[in-house]
Amino acid sequence: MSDLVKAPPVLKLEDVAVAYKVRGGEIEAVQNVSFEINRGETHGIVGESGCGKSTVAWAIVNFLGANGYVKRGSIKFQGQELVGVTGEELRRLRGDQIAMVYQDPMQALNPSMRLGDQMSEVLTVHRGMDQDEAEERCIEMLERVYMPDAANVMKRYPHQISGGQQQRVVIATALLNNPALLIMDEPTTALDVTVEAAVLDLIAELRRDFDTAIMYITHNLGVVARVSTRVGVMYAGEMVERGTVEQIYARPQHPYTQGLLRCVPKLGSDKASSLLYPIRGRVPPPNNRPHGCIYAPRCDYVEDRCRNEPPKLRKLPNGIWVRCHFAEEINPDEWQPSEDIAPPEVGVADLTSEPILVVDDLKKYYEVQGTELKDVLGLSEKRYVKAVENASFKIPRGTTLGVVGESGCGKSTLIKTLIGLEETTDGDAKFLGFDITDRITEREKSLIQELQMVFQNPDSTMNPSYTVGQQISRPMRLFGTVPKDKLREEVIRLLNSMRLGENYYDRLPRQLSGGEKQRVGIARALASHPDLVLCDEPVSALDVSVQAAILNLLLEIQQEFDTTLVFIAHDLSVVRFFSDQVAVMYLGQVMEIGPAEAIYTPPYHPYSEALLSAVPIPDPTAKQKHIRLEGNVPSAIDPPSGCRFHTRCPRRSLLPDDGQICVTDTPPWREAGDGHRIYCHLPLETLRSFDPVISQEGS
Amino acid sequence: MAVQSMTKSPPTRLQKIWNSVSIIFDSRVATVGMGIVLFWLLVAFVSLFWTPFDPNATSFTQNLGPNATNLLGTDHLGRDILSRLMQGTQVILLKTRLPGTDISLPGGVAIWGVFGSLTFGSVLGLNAGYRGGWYDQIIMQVLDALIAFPRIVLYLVVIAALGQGDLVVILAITITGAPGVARLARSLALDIKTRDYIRAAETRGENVWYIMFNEILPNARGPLLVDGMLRVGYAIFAIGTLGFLGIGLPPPDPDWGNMVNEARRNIFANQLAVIWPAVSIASLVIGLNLFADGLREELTRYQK
Repeated sequence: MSDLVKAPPVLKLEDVAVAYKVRGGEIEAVQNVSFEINRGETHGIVGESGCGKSTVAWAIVNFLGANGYVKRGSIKFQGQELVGVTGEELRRLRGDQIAMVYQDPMQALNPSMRLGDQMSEVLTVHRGMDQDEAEERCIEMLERVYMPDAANVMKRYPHQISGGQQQRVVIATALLNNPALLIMDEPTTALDVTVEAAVLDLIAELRRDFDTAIMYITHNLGVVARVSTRVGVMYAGEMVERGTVEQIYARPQHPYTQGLLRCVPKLGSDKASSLLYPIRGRVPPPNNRPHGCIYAPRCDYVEDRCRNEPPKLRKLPNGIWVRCHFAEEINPDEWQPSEDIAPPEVGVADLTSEPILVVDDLKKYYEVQGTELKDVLGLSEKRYVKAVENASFKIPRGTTLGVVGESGCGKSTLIKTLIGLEETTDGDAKFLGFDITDRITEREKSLIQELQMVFQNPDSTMNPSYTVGQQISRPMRLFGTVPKDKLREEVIRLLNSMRLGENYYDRLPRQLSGGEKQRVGIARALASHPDLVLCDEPVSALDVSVQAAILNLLLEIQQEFDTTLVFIAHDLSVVRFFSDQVAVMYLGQVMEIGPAEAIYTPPYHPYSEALLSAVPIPDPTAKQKHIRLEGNVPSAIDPPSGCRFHTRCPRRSLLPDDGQICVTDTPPWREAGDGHRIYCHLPLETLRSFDPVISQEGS
Repeated sequence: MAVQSMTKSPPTRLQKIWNSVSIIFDSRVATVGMGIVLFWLLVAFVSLFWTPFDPNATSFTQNLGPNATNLLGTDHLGRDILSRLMQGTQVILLKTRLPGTDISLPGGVAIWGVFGSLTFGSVLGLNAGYRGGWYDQIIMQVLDALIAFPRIVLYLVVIAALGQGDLVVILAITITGAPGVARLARSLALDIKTRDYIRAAETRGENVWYIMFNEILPNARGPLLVDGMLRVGYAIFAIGTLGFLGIGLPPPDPDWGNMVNEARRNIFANQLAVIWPAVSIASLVIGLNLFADGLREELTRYQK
């Protein structure tokens, strides 16, 4: 090593344990966490929910609440011990040297204060600057984070700017004091992918320019790969592996990291790379952790030593720190999925078979109630939110249609309309030959039975007052599909095919984990043997390992029951392997639709191309085209004329006149063969000439 | 599988009940409240079988202070105050006398009154909250109009129209309590109806009443029950007020409010005769309030 005297790391944690006092005892939420962050370095902390990532961050700034405290270990900030520091000293440090950015910008900003006042307060309070100077600095900083029209933003209130802009304001505020340490706790999780991509770019740039140490907490392995230099992987309150990003992703040493990487969709070019292998079992609750290695119950390589002796975090010759007895002997390349987690074989679906659902030119408008007296009296012209515009597609029996788009693109409205929770404004939708443009209350019972739905939020998908058995048997009772004396038997059969087992029959929802609740939700939807199941983001609220299991389960069920699925997602990589057809929506309009493989290779619609290039890929070596959309999604009340995407389209300049035609005319459907259709003015030859968005280095 | 679950020994029914009851003891406030309420319930049960003297017998000297025979003294007609206080708990908590007969329904006037307002209130509130639109407008406007009347005036109107009696008091309590319950039930329904499981019921084509009573109501139960407990306190207060005005529960059973009213006339001769029933009303109401408050606090903490 060099003889240079190294400056102490900005942050150094040694063997930190955090405990919470709870009813009847104490829970150690975090144990034995050690890591350090140097200047100009982004240290990612990654792990599934409930593994203690945020607790570590709170421990650093002593925000643990009334019942939490640092039980053991030391937290040193620039060489100064933070454990035990309270009151004024800590308050000064927090405002001056350590800054934080949290997940939800709407909660970080005070809704009743102008943004300028909130920002300049940091400088006037901590630096004693006068108001004018502080405001000038704030405007500079807002421009630094690429906030358009910075001087005007200072006068606005938080609700007047978009979510991505709010997060920029929070980041700008955090940087105002030029902090030595910036703690970011899932700062982009609440944002859309295209917005997230831009914020991540910004974070990477700021780290270089400001030479700040960043602690970046996230559950998303793709995001970590994009922003971090070093990564620590946390599992059940312990740090199990730590190393540089390249090392961790190319050659993970801990079985948990290996498992985690295997259950993330990769968005590679070939289908095989999208196979998902879930991790069996679940994260142990903090009050019931195993005695030996905490990962032992779920590990493929477990031996007796693992069950009895907790491994120490130790440094391997290649520089990776790992908490595993057998790290040297495990070779992830030789890993074979055991039978219970192997993904199902998927045959090629026949897209030419008879369609079960035919949607033609479907429209759904919501009337907007104005606030003026004229509006209330009904005298002014009626205005509409055009939530879904001219949606047309066919779904052959037994296949899956994936619908992708950012929030507010109308994908949820589309399925709400199909299932009859909303009335269709115009257009045609036929399911099994029956018209389904009316509300559900007007439909035949036998038709309702064939069209069921799986919901997004595992915590609200089940009624907390009823047991699993009662909830799954309800549709059977209602539709009379199963005789009364066979109900229990049938529910248990269904539970078994969800891999839940009979002992779940009498459990209440609060006794289930998120993934289990989602399985019950799927079982309930399948209980009436529907022909078509609409899935509204069924995995987006789940951890990656659980998400993989649910996706594989849905595939299996589709084969077993020959069910047709409509699958909504905001994440392009999730639908990649799962769907036979994919539709990309923007602002209520289907922009591109076609067989799944066709969507991920050229020709692309410019919007699909931008979406693909924004998805964070959990592979630091993958090359991704750098396309960032400008501005915000326009309001659906007055959608842009012509092509709805023209205000943000990065490819418009390829057309003559800087794409004047996009503003004036609605685009034609370009047929690219095989049912692949693109809604764009650009001729097919141009669209074909785009490079693939994702390519592997060296290939 | 069976062996595994055996070794874990699932909690018996008794343990489960104890687990849910034991949160009361986590809150000191709730424990104290429950102690007071249980004391009065015990008094009520004892009074069914035994009181020191006949509550209506005028066999003692008038306006006695507390002494060895009459522990709390006697009133202006020479009746034993302790016996009357004990007997007075019955009409509030334990029995409702049907007019014209000697039959009594189990459950006191306060309990039935609150039960009535809970039933009416939640039916109206669930309809307003879940259905929304015109249902909401009409139901809530009517109930708001009802709230706008001063309570006492409402009581007077009901009793003037229907005469005196236990059932009429129950009706008066129901009518004045229902709007408040309805507001609570409506706000709960507005929250719960956004959950996915309601969407799931709708996509199964469930009946509106099934959704309101089988999907929403069980999840609104907790806050409604706590509110109901507070309302028992208000109802006892209301009975006291009516008794004081002389239009409450009819004789022969002693009524706390009426006892205060009668003793008030002799307040310069015997102050304690006013104090005893007043303190009884206050302590029972405070007990119920403490119990409900503590329970609510513990329940919401438990959810977090």
